[in-house]
Amino acid sequence: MHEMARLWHVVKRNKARTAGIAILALFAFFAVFATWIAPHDPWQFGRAFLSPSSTNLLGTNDVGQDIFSELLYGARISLTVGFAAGLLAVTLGTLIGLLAGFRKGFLDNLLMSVTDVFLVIPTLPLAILVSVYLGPSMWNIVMVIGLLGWPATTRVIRSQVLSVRESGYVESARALGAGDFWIMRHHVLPNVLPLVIAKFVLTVAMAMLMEASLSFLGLGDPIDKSWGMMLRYAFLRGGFVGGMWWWYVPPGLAIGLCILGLTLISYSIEERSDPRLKRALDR
Amino acid sequence: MKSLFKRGRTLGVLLLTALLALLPLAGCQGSDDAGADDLVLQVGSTKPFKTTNKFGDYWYGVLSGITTHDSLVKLDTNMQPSPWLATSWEVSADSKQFTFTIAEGVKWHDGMPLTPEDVKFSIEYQRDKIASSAWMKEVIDNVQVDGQDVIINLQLPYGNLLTEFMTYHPIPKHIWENVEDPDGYNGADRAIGSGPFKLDSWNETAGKFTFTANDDYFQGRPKIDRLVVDVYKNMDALVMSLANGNIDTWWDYSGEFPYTHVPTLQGTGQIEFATATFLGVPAAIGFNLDVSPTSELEFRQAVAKAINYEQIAELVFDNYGSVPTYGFAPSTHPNFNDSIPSLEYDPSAANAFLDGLGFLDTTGNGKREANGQEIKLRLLARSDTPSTVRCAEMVMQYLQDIGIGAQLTSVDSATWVAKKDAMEYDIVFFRATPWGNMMHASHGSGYFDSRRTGQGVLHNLDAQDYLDACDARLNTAVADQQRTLDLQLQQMHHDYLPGLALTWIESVYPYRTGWDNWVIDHIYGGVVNSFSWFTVTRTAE
Amino acid sequence: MERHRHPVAAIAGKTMRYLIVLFIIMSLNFLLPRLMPGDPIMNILGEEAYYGSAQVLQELKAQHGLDQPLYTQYIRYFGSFFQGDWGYSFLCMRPVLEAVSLHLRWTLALVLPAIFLGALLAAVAGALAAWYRQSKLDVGLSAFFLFCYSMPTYWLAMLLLFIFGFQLGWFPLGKVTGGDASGLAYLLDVGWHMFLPVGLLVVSKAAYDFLVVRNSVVSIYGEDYVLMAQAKGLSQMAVLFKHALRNAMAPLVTVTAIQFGAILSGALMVEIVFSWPGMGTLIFEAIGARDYPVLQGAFFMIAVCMLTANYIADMIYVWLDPRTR
Repeated sequence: MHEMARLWHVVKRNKARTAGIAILALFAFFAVFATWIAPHDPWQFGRAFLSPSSTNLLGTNDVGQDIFSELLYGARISLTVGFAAGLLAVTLGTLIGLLAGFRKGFLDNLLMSVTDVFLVIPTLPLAILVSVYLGPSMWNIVMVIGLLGWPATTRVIRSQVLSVRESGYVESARALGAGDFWIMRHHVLPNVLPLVIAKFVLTVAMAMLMEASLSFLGLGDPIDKSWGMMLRYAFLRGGFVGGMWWWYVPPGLAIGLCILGLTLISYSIEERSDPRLKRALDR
Repeated sequence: MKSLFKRGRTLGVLLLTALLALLPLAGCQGSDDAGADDLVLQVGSTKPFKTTNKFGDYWYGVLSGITTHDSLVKLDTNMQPSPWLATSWEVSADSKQFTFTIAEGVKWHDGMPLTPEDVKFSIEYQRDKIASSAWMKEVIDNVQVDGQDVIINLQLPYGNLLTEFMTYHPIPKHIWENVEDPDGYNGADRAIGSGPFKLDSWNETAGKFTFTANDDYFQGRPKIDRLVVDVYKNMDALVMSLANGNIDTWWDYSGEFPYTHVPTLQGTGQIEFATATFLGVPAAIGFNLDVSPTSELEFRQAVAKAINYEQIAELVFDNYGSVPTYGFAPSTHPNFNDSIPSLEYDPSAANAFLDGLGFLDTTGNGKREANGQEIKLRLLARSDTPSTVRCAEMVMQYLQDIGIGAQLTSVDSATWVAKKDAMEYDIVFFRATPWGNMMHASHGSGYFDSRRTGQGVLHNLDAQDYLDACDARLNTAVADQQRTLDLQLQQMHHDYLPGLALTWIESVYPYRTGWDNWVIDHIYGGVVNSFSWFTVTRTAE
Repeated sequence: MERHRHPVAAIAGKTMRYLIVLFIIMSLNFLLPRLMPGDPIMNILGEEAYYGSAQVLQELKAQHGLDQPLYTQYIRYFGSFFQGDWGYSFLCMRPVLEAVSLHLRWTLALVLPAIFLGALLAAVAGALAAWYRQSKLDVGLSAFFLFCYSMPTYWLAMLLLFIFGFQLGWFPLGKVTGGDASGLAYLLDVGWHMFLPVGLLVVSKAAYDFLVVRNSVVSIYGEDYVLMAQAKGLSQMAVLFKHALRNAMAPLVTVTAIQFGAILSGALMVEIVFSWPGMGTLIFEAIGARDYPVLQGAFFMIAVCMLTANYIADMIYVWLDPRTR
């Protein structure tokens, strides 16, 4: 009973995170079970431009595909691209950050300079450039975002490694013969984990937004049912001008909600790990 | 106490911001307004115009053909050549000599007379200086002037010269004779022609052309005093402008007005629609004839039977489409062969063809195999036209319905060209333009003849009798012979099946209520064409 | 570390670093078309060169020095780059540098007001939200900005265009000007056309800044000097704007620099919806035409903008940092 009350307290105090996780869980559910919960096959053609009804909850698009089913399947592409790119970026970022932090001196300087370069590379134009060269594919988008998104993580990890290195207990651990790897596992990672997760979550959001933008520009695979592609067709095939809100509002909202969920999670983590802010907010 | 956020400073920051915002905009000029009684036609377009050099900018070249420039002959609404700058013409019996009599009293916009010498110069200039006119080097031997006559002597018989010349516009010799690089010529006089309108201004920032009526036009002054071409970046914005009354009509060459936007415009009660049969083919497929299984005629016939043409016409072309025949080019073309059967959706016939070929589904997973491997066709489509991609999605589905696996690659137009030329496909999606269907040996043969090269063409059919028929058609200007060969070429499209039209369409051309007496033209752009300038009227609201 | 150095040394160090970054970005621009699949001559000259015969292609190659070894090309590339020769755009019918500059000014016309007005809006809204924290105002403002932060900017742009441009007819349907005015009327016309896209970007920029300002102001609550100021009888507003916002300046500048790329990306997409003749539209058209020289020039120009923004932010930071004053 006491435990339950404690849990409730935590949840209540962290409404933002709970809401964020709930939103994402919902879309993840859609993505995983789209095949079962979608009322129609979103690739199946039928009567075009139907208004919402009990058979087609959100009506049908320009070639008679069920928009609600498209929306559910769209979660797959967006979440896959987002999480794959986020994972790639954070893994790279963590590795480079650890390397820079532990190997001070020349290598550290070099890696930090490279980080600076990557921070100012305009991601969207580069992603466009690479997509044009390599052809439309979801995995190209993952690659570009993954390879460009690591510097933020690297900086956090590196500064954490540096501050831990200097601390007395690591010095003594080292004196007792502990290796870099041991120090990393026991002192660095636990400290940086919340921040890494926060960065990961933000990268996921960025990747999802970019996928939606590139698909909207026509640089995505047209066979993939993605939210950006749905918006593209609504824009090009009369959905907007015709005022068919059931066609162009849901995909935009879906993208926005996912990003909202991720942002809420990220903020709540960052707030908790910033003691000054935490103190202020608890006041 | 001085603080960063003192009120005065805040105001300063605001002003600075406003200044910063306006700084980059300095140095643009507007154009003077016209009189209130002037008849002004506002035309919207989504074509990517960049300059007013008709050689450097393809789209301005097309636009100049109906505004500032004239051609020797034009195609009339019955698809027959009719006099324009040339009052008459004669073709020798061997189709090797063409004589055009040039109208008298024609003036360039700068007041200089347009002479047969200008016409001769223009033909030679385009032959020598314009890359896309390089075909003239192989065809035209020499050009002579005799009084008002321009005599063109050819190296070989070339029956299609009249049609070709409908897209060529004489240019003033006194302006261009010293221009070495026509594509890059920036002189202010580069837009001078002899046409019904003079170019007044081109505001690239606003995306707006203004043309004024040519008072001295040799066929009389056009009824429209001022023609404004408003350039939009996307169709949605253009349609909204049309609905809101900012523009009166729409112009495009070879593109169809998006049917999906028609209901919205009808809803305004302000827009009417003219329709005309589109002379091109808005969506077509071509086969790779070099690789199995598309090299098998029966396989291609199976694909032809597997496609639900009615559904494509309904869903992608909103019921403005119709089921084509095997002959490829639509029935409005002269010498249409009406004995060729229509395409037909008949999946059981498609399955029978495939069974006959021995492409069976031995594993029972719904996918047919060839030589022990599941068939997986490579479909290639361009991503820049959404209706094409939609067609491709549908064809992919139809193929799956008869047990043929397929993979769709949708790429930008340039990659499409590269992949198409490298034959990296089994089925390619393309579109035929109105002129494209009339070029070469007509009826779309220019898309299939294996000896052709160019951005949009497939050059996939190399059967000798087909190539011979094309050559024979090219070599004659005699109507009877042309007719026989036209019918034969369409029959060969049926027999060889190098590709097929997925639909034929009625194009719709929207215009604002109150404008009347348009000439509906199949080829130069619906209601906006050189003929309409002299007939169109506007009733006051 | 750097922070404790003399300001001049700090500035020199920063400048050096930015020059190196610039050099690396230029090299990237050199290498990309050569590393990518496909014929580098097409990647570098654009698709227009593609239709020539083999001999023409060879001549073009020689003409552009593409038959030279890579290091020679590399040196030449830098040479011509600094002479303003960025190649020729077949799409725009003019040199790339000229085409890119023409479009850049329209993008800046969106982005610069968005940055300053957005920061101003965020400062006011953030400070108010912090001051009346946990109130309905705070919750409302936070929710509003969080919403604007999350929704795809181009989608919001389409909604605005549809509602205010098309349905209500209050604003034009895109473009920068109707093209029929001059002088003051022209500027007013442009301002009218700018309202929707700039308004949208102002709000989305403010959405990035809002929480930063709010949290920064919240965090100095109860600090001695604020309490002291209040005790001295300064009005609430005076305290708010003098002390609290001053404190928020540095993080605001930092976040502006970090988010500059995102703002710019948002602007590029918004341009396409509003038919705005800026970099976004240019890039969009260049994709369709495969005009690689333009794509590269645009990429470089945007990178330079981002570098400049970061550089200015660094300079302001040095100036704001009490330890270097």
